[in-house]
Amino acid sequence: MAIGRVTTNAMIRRYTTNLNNALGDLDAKRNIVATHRNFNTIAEDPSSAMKSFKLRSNFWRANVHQENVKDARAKFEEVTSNVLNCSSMARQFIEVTLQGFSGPTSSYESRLSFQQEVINLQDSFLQQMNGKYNENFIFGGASTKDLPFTKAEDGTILYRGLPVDTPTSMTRDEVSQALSGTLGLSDNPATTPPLSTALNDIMGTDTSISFSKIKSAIENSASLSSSQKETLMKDNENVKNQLLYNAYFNEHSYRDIGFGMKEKNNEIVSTSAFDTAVNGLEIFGYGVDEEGLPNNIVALAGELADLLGKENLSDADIEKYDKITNKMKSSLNDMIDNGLAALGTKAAFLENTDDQLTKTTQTLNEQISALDFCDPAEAITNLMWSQYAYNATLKVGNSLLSNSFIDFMN
Amino acid sequence: MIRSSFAGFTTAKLGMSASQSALNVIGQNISNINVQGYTRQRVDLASFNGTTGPRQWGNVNDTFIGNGVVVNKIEQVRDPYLDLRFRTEMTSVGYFDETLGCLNELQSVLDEVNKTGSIHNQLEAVLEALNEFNPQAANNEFQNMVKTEMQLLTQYFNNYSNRIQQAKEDNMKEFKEQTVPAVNELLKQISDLNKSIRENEIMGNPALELRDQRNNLLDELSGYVKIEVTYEEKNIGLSSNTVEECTVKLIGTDGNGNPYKYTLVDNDKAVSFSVNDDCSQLTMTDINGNPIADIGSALKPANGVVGTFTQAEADAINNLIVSIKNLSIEVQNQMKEITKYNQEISSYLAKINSLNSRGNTLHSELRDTLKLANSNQNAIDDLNTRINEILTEDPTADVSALREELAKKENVQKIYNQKLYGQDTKPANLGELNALDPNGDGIYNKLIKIYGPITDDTTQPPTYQTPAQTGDLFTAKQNLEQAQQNLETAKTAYSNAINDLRVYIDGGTDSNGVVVDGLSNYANITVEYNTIPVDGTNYFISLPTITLTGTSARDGEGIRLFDGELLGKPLPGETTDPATGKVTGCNMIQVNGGEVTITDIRGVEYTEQIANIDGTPYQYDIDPATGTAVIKTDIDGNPIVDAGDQRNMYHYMQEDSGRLKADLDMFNRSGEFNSSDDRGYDYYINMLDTMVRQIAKVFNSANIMDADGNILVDADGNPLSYANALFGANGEVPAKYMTDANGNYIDYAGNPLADGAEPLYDIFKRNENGELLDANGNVTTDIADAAFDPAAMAALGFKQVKETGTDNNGTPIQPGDFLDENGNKIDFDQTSANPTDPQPDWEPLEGKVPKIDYDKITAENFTITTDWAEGFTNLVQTHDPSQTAGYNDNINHLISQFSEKLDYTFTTADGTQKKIFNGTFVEFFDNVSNQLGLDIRSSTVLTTNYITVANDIANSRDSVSGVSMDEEGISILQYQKSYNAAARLMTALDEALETVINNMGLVGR
Repeated sequence: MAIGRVTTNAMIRRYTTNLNNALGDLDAKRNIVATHRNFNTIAEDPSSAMKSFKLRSNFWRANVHQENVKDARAKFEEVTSNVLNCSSMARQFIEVTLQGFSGPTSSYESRLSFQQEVINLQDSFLQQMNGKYNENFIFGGASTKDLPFTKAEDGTILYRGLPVDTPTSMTRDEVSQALSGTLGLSDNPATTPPLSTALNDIMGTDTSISFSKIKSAIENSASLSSSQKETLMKDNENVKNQLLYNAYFNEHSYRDIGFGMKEKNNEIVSTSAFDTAVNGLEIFGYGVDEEGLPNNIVALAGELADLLGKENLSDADIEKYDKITNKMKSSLNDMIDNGLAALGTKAAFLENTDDQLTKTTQTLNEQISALDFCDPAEAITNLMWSQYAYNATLKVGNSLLSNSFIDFMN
Repeated sequence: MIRSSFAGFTTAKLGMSASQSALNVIGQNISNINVQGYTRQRVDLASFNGTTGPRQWGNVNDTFIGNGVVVNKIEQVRDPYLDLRFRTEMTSVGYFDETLGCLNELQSVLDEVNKTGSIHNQLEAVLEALNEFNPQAANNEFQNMVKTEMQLLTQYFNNYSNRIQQAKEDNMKEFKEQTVPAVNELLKQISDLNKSIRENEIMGNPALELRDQRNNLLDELSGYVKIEVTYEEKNIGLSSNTVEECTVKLIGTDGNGNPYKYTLVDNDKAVSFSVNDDCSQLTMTDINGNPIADIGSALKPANGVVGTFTQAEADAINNLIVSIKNLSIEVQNQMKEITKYNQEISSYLAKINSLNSRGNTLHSELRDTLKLANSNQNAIDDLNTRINEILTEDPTADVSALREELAKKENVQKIYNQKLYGQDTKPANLGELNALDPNGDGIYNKLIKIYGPITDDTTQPPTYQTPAQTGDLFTAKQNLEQAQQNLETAKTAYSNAINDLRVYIDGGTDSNGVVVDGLSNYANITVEYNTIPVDGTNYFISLPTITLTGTSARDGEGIRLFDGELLGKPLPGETTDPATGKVTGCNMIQVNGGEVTITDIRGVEYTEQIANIDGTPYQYDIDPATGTAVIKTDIDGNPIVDAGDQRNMYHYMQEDSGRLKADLDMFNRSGEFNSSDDRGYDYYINMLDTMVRQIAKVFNSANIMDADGNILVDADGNPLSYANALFGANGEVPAKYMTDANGNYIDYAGNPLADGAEPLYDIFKRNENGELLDANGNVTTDIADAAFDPAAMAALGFKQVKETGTDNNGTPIQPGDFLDENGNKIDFDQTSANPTDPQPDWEPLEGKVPKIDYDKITAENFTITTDWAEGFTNLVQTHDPSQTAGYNDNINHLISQFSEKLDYTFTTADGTQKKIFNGTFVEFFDNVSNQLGLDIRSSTVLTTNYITVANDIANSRDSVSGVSMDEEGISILQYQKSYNAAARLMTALDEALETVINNMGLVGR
């Protein structure tokens, strides 16, 4: 085989291939400079493309998370400002107005005018407690469309239909009444199940049961039939209220702020997302104390107004007045200490997260730039080099076809 | 040796002529330097020496000077090995280049690196919209935003799927209308060129330029299919001249994956390819234009339908072939017998004729001789009377003269007796007459020998014994009769054998009354009858040639099981009975496990799987209705045994070889979806389908039911009217109906539905593979045990009973029962005589379907449902409808699904689910495009490699066959000089002769 025998066509073919390669290379380099991109198809660099897709996903999501954080922060700022308004109003009332009032011993007229001030305070409070952010009520927990706090005709303060001074537990007697009244259970004559059996089933030996336990106690009761359970939970006012408490304190409104929001057993894992639900009860108080006074500061103000509206005050009333005014101070403190502090923590957390996400997006941006986009200096250098190589190849081509032996023959 | 004075001129002339030829060839080379595929030509010069052999009387001092130079031939400089290598590389280049072309089209659809509008981004946009919707769960305008983004997402999928489908269809059109016809045209051109080259060669022209053309075409063909080219020199006529025959074969595989060569071009004949409409079947004719089928489909299992092809059936075929051979020999032998007896009959007839005519001659001779003998006897008697009378008168009278005359007469009489009886004396009576020596010369002797004993010799002719029992004539007649009988027997045997031959081929009752399953019962055969001369006779017989139908893969001749012209050649593995000489067995067809080997009558072996065109083995199902076996269909949808099947060459091409295979792979292979190695168009379409099904499943399930699979209800337990499917096909939600394994509609008892009957909703609990579940969640095959799916029943408006009690009619009910809208128990027995009965009343609640058939949703028809678009259906924000507006747990669930690693599955042919990926939505899609990127990259690398190698080989080939300008220039000088030198030689010789002729003998003049 005549290896080494160089023919004109082989030379032309080789040259054409090389020229084509050089041109292809030049085109690729020119493309990089023109588009500023390191690759324009996945096939050019599959692993970088894959990384880039991942980074872009992360970048996109970090932006979404940051939007969520900003939104949550704005909401919490609104919440905090409303709570602050409330607290300053309350402080003003306690420290100035209340100080200036001579107390239950003053005249009926002055009590009445003071009562009006209390009612005004209540209304101002309610206005703040029904504050909105972005068209959504902010203190309604997960519920955002309905007024969270309302004042009934009789002056009762309701949180989403539930009087805020509803006790937070049911006594044994109350449960027993619920069983006999709503389900008609009794021991004599024995019904199915007998009243005592059903009561023990729910209460055990406890004298009272809190709202957080009553739902599962009824649902797990062995003696009650499922329709009895349903009736009890649906028709008994007392039980219903306890269940409402339970529901309100267990509701969340999660936002995905980049902690990998996940579900477990079909519930969002609380640590994987941020709960933006603000329960007005938690901040403004709920239930009653051992004295029977409402813990909620607005309801407490209502009690005060009622008291002031009485024409003749008994000793007990006067004692109650003192208790109410004292409790108002502690309620205010609770609101500031617990409510605002908790809100502050959440706001600080969101701020940190916001900063973190800003950094993340910056880093991602840099990574994407580094991966996707070329270094102009390097790209242009490469382009110039390719251009040089191409020119050189062209030059070679010119001499390739210039002469052969035939040109020198005589 | 004494050379002629002018011999030198011839030498010079040859030298000039050779140089001129060489210069002409150089001219041809230089002028063709730019012709693609031109092969450098070379003058083959040889020194010419006119002397021949040793010479007995030669002078030892003689010198032998050559006579110059001759041009042997003009030849091409070509290295066949390089052609072979080049074509092998071109096959690979063709495959990967074509694949790359298709993948690039996919890339333009699926590669989202440089796109802003993309599925990847749109998935993120949907997620963003959901996040924005999250705190605004109560606000419809935010829901509409999500809806719009999702609508856009569906449109992206529609668009991607359509574009891939379009690319596939465009390519299929090109394949059908351009690629395959181009290959056929190439094959035809090659065979035409073969013919032209052959004709040229016969005329003595080496047709070098035509060979170049052919090589170009072969190079081109090698890009399409893997080929092997062989050249064979064949003698023509009586001369030693040869012509070249070129054969092109496709290097493929047999049914077992071993290399196998299929003839594409056999000298001047070529096959042609054709492809079916969906490009799943590439079929090929043999070089005679007949379809090529498969051995597997030419052999029929028992009864033509049932079971597998076994050795028993192979033996049945072998025995039939043996019988057919024996019968053919019988036909041949009986024809010989018939000839023999015919000859005997005519010889006996001739003998009888000759005996009769001899008898007649003897009779007339007898008559004449008797007349003479009698008259002589009368004269003797007269003389004796006269002598007696004289002696009576005078006892002493001299009667010597008379006695002398008497003695004379008596001598004459003896002669007559000799003539008549073969003896001197006349037999005294009939007894003596008949006792005459049959071999005697007398007329009577001869007559008796011919006709037998005489009963009356006084008549003329004599009366013979009747009926005759002896005599030559009698014997001859007897022999004639025997021969005539034998002839009849042979004729019967002949026609029986002819008849039986047809019976053993086509089936029927043979001449012995035996019912025979003909060969055609076991195999699809073509039978031709050929006229064959019978040795030793002047007659011809007609014997069959039996060929397995359409199995001609190699040479267009088919697999020949029997050939009447080759009776003398033993069958494969033939055994014979030494006593009778008859064939007793053969092993022409042998079954070994799943393989069948056929050795044809010429001894060529074919081994293949007992299988249909796609290589799938014979399989059959028992039809539950009839209990009979029904042959399964192959992947092409044909019954496994089908006489009309043609070999699908696509399945017999080597992997990664040629453009044809590349295109077919892209059209037919869908990677994991049909368990193949290559990912063609359908892989990507299927991946998109799988993805939209997953999206539809996640969103629909979240919008229809809770995590426990119960339909979403309001505070009163009634289904939520707006909680319906969000995604469907073409706006509709495809419902799942009762179907069998083949997708045919059935009723609840499992019986097929009548044509046109409304399909019945699937309402049963099933596992992920579609198997029925009973109340305890265990798989069951009995539909009577199957439990209802509560969600499906709820979609039909039925409520599940929770407690034991009674319905509105007072019928006892228990948990697990369902109540209709009137509060009455649904009495439904799926195995009852009329299992469809309740169905007409069952209408799903508005907007709902009992179960969704996700397999009916594809990327192409993926849409949001019309109900959602029109606002009848809503994106469910919470699974707890008792809560007030603003709850967003379902939205959060959907958001979390974007980070959830989900299992992606697809439904296999047998209805089970097979996992193909685990990851998030975005990861899945990125994986699809990345897969494509990797495939493109590897194909690019391979293509580049193969092109580089092919280029190198092309350069090597050029270095052998290409024209070098320098070289040709040098040759010009070389031959120009040699031409000049030869011319100068002529001048020198001329001058020498000038001296001899004009200047010699002039001394002193």
